[in-house]
This record gives sequence, structure tokens and C-alpha cells, in this order.
Amino acid sequence: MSERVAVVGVSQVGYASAITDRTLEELIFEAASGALADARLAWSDLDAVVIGASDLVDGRVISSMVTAPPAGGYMKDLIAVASSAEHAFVLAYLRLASGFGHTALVAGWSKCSEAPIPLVEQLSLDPFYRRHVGMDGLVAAALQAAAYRDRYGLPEAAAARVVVKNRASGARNPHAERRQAVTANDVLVSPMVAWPLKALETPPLSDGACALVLARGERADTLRRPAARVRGVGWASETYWREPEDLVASRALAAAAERAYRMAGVRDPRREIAVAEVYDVTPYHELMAYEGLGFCGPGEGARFAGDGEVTVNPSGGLLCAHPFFASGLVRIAEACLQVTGRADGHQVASARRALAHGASGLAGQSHTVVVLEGEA
Amino acid sequence: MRRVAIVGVGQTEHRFRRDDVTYPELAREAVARALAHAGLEVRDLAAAVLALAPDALMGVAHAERWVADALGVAGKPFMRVNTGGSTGITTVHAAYFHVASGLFDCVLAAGADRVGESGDAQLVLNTMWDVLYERPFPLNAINMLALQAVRYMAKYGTTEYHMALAAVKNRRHALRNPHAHLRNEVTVEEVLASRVICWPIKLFDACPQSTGGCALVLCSEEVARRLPGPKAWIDGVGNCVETYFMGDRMGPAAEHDHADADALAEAIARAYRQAGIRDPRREIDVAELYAPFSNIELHAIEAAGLCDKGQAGRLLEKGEFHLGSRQPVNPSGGVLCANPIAVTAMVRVAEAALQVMGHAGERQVEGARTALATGIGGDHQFYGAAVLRGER
Amino acid sequence: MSDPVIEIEQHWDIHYRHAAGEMGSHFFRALREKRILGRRCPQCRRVLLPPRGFCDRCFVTTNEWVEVAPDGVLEAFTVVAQKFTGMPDPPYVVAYARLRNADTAMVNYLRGVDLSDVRAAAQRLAVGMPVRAVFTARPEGRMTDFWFEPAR
Repeated sequence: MSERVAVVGVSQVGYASAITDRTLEELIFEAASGALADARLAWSDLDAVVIGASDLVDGRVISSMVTAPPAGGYMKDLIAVASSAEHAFVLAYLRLASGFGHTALVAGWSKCSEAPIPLVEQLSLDPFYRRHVGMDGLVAAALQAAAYRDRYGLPEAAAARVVVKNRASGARNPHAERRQAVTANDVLVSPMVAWPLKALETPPLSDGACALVLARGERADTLRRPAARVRGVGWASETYWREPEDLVASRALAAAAERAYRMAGVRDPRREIAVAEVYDVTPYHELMAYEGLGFCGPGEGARFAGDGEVTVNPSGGLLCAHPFFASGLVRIAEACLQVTGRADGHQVASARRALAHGASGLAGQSHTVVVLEGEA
Repeated sequence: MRRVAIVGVGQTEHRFRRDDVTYPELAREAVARALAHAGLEVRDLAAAVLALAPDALMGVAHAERWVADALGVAGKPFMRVNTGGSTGITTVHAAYFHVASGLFDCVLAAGADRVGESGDAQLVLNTMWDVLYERPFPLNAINMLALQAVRYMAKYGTTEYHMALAAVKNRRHALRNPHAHLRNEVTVEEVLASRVICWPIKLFDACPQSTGGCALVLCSEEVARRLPGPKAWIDGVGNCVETYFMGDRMGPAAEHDHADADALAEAIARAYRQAGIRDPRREIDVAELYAPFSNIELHAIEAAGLCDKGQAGRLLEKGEFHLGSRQPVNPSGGVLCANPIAVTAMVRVAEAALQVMGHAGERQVEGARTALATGIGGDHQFYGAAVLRGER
Repeated sequence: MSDPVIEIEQHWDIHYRHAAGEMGSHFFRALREKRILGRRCPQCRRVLLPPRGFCDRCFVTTNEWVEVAPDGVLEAFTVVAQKFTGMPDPPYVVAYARLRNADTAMVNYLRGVDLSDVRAAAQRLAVGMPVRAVFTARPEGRMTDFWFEPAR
């Protein structure tokens, strides 16, 4: 696979607990036009659009109807992906890698202030066997956290350290919703919301939109430089009916990482990846991501966290901003900013290769991993 | 650019309800048939794309997560597409890119829907409209296209009689299609006398609410050539999106009129261009055109370049576009005879594939080698097209 | 004879609160004053109704409020004869009308038409027919504050 595909433009609008001065459509327009401007690409020259839209989060059936035009879709080739916004990025990549067109815009968003997110999550459970349990994303994440702690006898201070790290990073990210640092003690005394998760170990539910512009081959040279070359993509979904061990060590994450690394020629991720933006819906999920991404072995997450070889979530991660359906795409955007030296205020020095990780579905049923490399 | 072929086609018999299976089981039925047709097994599939439109009709949010196992995707790359009524064909496009990119050799495009089960389809579909300015009004998937019919009739002098001709033709075709939901003929008189739903759309001008599944197996040329059965080569794909507000498609400042399907014509033109089709009136042997109402088939035929704008009704009257004529449209009976929303546009591709594979049974168009399939979604907003070719 | 299949009933009741944004709020406030405002695109110069913050044909932000006249032209209509769950009792007319000074048509009810015979009513309506926007006596700042009626 040789076709060169690179990210040449990035735009983020947000993130805040409620953005009420603009409608969802207006937010999307801002992100899409911002990404085109960032890429120095005229909208009329854009070949295709892929959006990541969730009807239930948006409160509109076929929400792509009203969201396609502000994402730049008028008279363009546009496909709406509904499983996650990072899948929209993947599909745009596949389209360009197939040789169709030279540019593509990818957009994702959520206005959590407008939707009852926990209820939307509960409704993803089948009505026959599981809906009556009333599980939502928080409860599912708590189950995973509890399983991880139980498996490895993790002290709660280890999770708190991840929160402290990410909150400190978020304070330096102009787009983060939560921009105040916290101490380990702040985390430990925050109220319990779903055992073992304390309030400060859970993400906010944010409003915001994110858009990226991809370009293929020589076309990328005429647009913003340096670009972030897509070196590897991997994605996988697990069975709906999970085994307890899957809650701790996701096979889908391992499969996604393996495919992305193989494509990117990464053999030793801990040495070869400078920055990782991972899906830290809780600090335990960040620890599990270290393991699933091969930065360390099973159960070693807490020790790795202290190592500093790979800088993880310099943006502050989900714990600082979580525009729900778009959060996986935001990880990709942040990774691109890192390898092109444009992560204002939270730039990791000499970040040449970065990884972005997104997850979707209760207890992370699906995972996506993208490896990006800065081009000179 | 790698060549991609459809090597397996599967669909269920579309009905109003299927109380004997859950949604994942329904999808599984179609997948099993596609694999059997291809002579492949689940483990041969490297990735999958699911066609699933409104979640609410299924009663499960993000039902792709529930149905994943039915598609055999545990551990595999898997994503879901939703572009309303055109979902089925944009899912095929997505699967096509999976293979054409060189990353996968064998990919599944599949899905199912149970429109009848939700009970309140139009209530659900009412929430597709702009929240601030259009939701307060009872717009739905039927009257949005009645509005099209009214403009089309005013622009071209077409009448309800011409619409009825499309309904009669498709019902007759469906008699030969064991998968069709509606399999009883109607006469022009019966169509014209049928109950008005949203004028001028009457009961027999309208599609049914169907429950059914569809699946296609797509392979790279290298893998396809190793399989014994016939292939349907995807020689052209095209996609185009119209503006959302229907009112923007009315009046002197409109770029395209709601009476016409110019964005559909553009999507088809893109597919034609890739496939090297220069004269569709001579080169297209059979067309499966998405049309949930009789009036829509008229301008879909025109958008496909099979006749001039406004002429489809008059040509139908002369017997054109019927099975047995030079360029049959919807030999399967089309959407008018089966509409399992999430996969209806995939069924168009499936039927087109069966035609060029020579596997279309009693509805086979003799010698069909080049076929066009289209899908329409949203308020006449999302358009997808595919040109398929068989082997001589 | 096999056991009957079990059915599970489910009812979805999801409440959303959608922000109208500054622009939308301005439009609805103007409705309270019986004024209908469109937004102009600086590039194509179209006055868009309903108003929006951007023109999707030019992909630029709109920059100007333009008050539209209450008289206009019927661009499309349908007479709804069937009852749909949660929708009004039929018959009623759903119509798109293009008001003077606006370049796009907008949806609303068309009232003041005899609908006792649906098919006959449809014959009496025509694309291009003059209509006007009529306001309720006490508008509340909603799209239902006004509707269309055939103009004399």
C-alpha cells in the first residue's frame, strides 16, 4: 500500500459544556470552513466529505440531512458514517487511498447540552435481554474500571495520577473545556459517581465540533505544510456479548493496534511513538490503553504511566473535553497538530510520530488506531 | 485503482413483519445467502460495512453494535453507514473503497430493516426535519415527495395517469420476483381510484413498509477470479448530495428544481464517467432505479439519461422501460414493491448484480451485461449510483 | 402447533433541548413583531428563508438581515388526506411559498382553502398562485405564528 495520504488542515470549535449562541449546523460550518482555511484549500476545490453523525446524539433522524450542507456537502460526494467519527476518518482515508479524488474533509461533532446522553447510551442495549439493566456509558466504564482494579490490585492513587497529569495538560490546551489543574487529593475526595469511579475520574460531556482535511499524493504538497502523513490505520469491533476478560484487555483494541502498527512499520511502539492521544473516558481506560497499544505488558499500566517514554494525552484527553461522538476524531486532530508542531501551548518537543486512539460502544466495543508522522 | 467485483448476493423475502427472527437474525439470513452464493465462508470476510438508517425504527440505538455478530465481524474492522434511504448503496460504496484501497480482499456489505415493526415510521421520520423551522409542520417522507410530484406536473404537464403507469409496470414485474413484498398486479384504474394519502400520491403510488435483509460480498479482482461463479464488476460509483432545504429548490434562484433530480443525474454521471458510459440510452441494458413513489420513478429515469426531462411518462405509455422492452427499469418491481428502508438501495445493487450475473431468474433481462443501480436518501438529498458489468 | 412468539413493547421518550442560537433567536423575536426576516449571502446575493448563518451553495457566512414582504407565490403544495400518528387530523395543506424579497421558499400550512373534496381542492391550487403570509393576532415567536392563504 503506497498511496500517500496526509492531513493538511485541522479545526476544532469548542469545547464547552454548552454552546448556545450557535446552532449545531452553525458549529459544524465553523469547523468545516476552519479546516479548509487551515488547509489553504478553497471549498470549490474539495472533492469529498465524510461525516461522523449520530442520529440519537443529534436528536434528528438521519441527522446527516441537516449536517451535510454545513460540513461542505452541497453537490459533493458525501457519505455519513454512523458508528463513530473516527470511522469517518478511516473511510475518507480508504477513499483517497483508492485513488478517488485528491482531497476529502472529515467532520464530527456533538452538542451534549442538547441531548440526554446517558439515556441515548441505555437505548443501545437490546430490548430483550439487557435494556432493563439500565446500563449507560458511565456504568459500563465503571464495570471495566472495577474489573481492571480487581485483576491487578491497583491502588486508587495510580488512577488519580493519570487524572492529575491530564488535567495539567488540559490547562495548556486552549480548546479544553476543563482548564484547571487538580491535585491527587482533589480526585480522591471527589464524590463517588459509579463505583469505583469518582467524579473527577469521569469526563465532562461537551459541546463542540472538529474537522480535518486530507489530501492525496502531490495535491498535499500544494496545501498546508508540514502535513501529517497517515502511516497506519487499524480498526476492529468485538462481539456484543462480552466475556469478563474482554472488559480489561480488549481484543478489538489489540487487533486495531496490530493492524495500524503493521501498516506503519512500527515494531516497538514504546520507542517509536513519541505522542499518543488515547481514549481516556476514565483514567483506568488510559491505563488499559497503554497495555492494549503495546506500550507495556498486561497489568503494567500504572508503572508505565510514570515512565515518560511516550507522552500520553498532551491535549488533556477526554478528561478535559469530551464532545462525545467526536472525541475519537479529536484525538486524531490532536495527534496531527503534534507531529506538525502546531499544538499551541501543549506541544511535545520533537514529536515526529504520533498515535490516535478512539473507542465507541458500551465498554469500548470498537476501537480505532491511527499512526501519523510529520512530514518536513 | 484495484478492480472490485460483487461475487455473492443474498436477500430475504421481504414482508411486512418477520416475527420469527430478531433483527440480527434477519441480517444473518441475508449474509448466509450471500456467502452461499459466493461459495465463501464467514472467515473469508476481512471486514464489513453495515447499512442501517434510522435507529428508532429498530428500537435499538446504534444497533450496529447489536448486529455485529450476525455479520461475523467479531474482531474484524466494521463500520456503519447512514444516509437515509440511500444507505444501502452508500454502504456498497464504502465497502468498495475498502477493497479498492488495497487494504482488504474480501468485504461484506449487509443490513436489514423492520419498518413495519416500529409502528410509527412517519412519526420517527418527522424528526428528520430542521428543528427550528420545519419540525412544527407535519412534513414526512411521503408529502415531501408529493411536493415534488406537484412541481413536476406543473413543469412538464405529467399527470396522475403517467404516475400510475409506473406503479402498474412495477407490480407486474414483481410477480416474477420471489423476494418482492407486494406481489399482486394493479390496473391504472385501480391506482387512480386508490385512497389519496398526500395528493397526488395515492395508496397504490406508494411503496410498502417492509421487513427484510440484504447482503453483498465484494472481492478484489485477484480473489474474484479464483472463484467459480459469475461476477458483477463494479465499474463505476458516483455520489452527490443536494441542498437540504426543499424550498431552496424552488423559484428562479434555485440551481436545481425540486421537480427534477439533478443531483441524482450528477451522481449517475460520475458513475458513468468512471465506467466509460457515454451513451446510456444505448449502453445500459437494465436499470434498478430507487423510487419509493411512482412519480419518483419518472424523474429517476430522466436523471439516468434514459430519456429527456419530462418524457418518462409518455414513454412508459408507449411500453418503454417494461420487461421485454429495450431498456427495462426495475424488473424486480423496484422500491414500489419492497422497501426495507436501510437496505432498499442495496437491493437495487443486488438486483442489478443478479442481472449481469445471469442469476435473475424469471425477471432476467436477456443478455444483460451493463446495469445501473441507484439510491436516494433524505428529502431527495443523498444520491448514490453504481454501474455494474458482467462478463461476456 | 408451536408456542406464540413473544413480543416486547418499548416506548422511546427522549427529550432534546436545541439551541436556536443568536441568529435563530433574532428571527423568532421578529416574528413576535409580525416581521419575517431572511438572511442574505454576500456572494450569491440570495436572501435565504428560513434564515441561516451560512450559505451552503457558496460556503460563506450570511451577513445581512432582509425583511421579506408578506405577499408571495405558492411554489409547491400537497393536500394531506391520511391521518399520521402524532400529526393533525386531515385534511390539511402543507405548502412551500416564496415571499417577495426572499429567494427561497419556506414551509407552512396553507389555510383558507375548501378541503371538503380533497381531489377537487388540489385542482383549485396551482404552482405560481399568489399567496400571502397571515399572522395570528398574538404571535409568540414561533413558526406557527403565521400561515399562508390564497391572495385575492
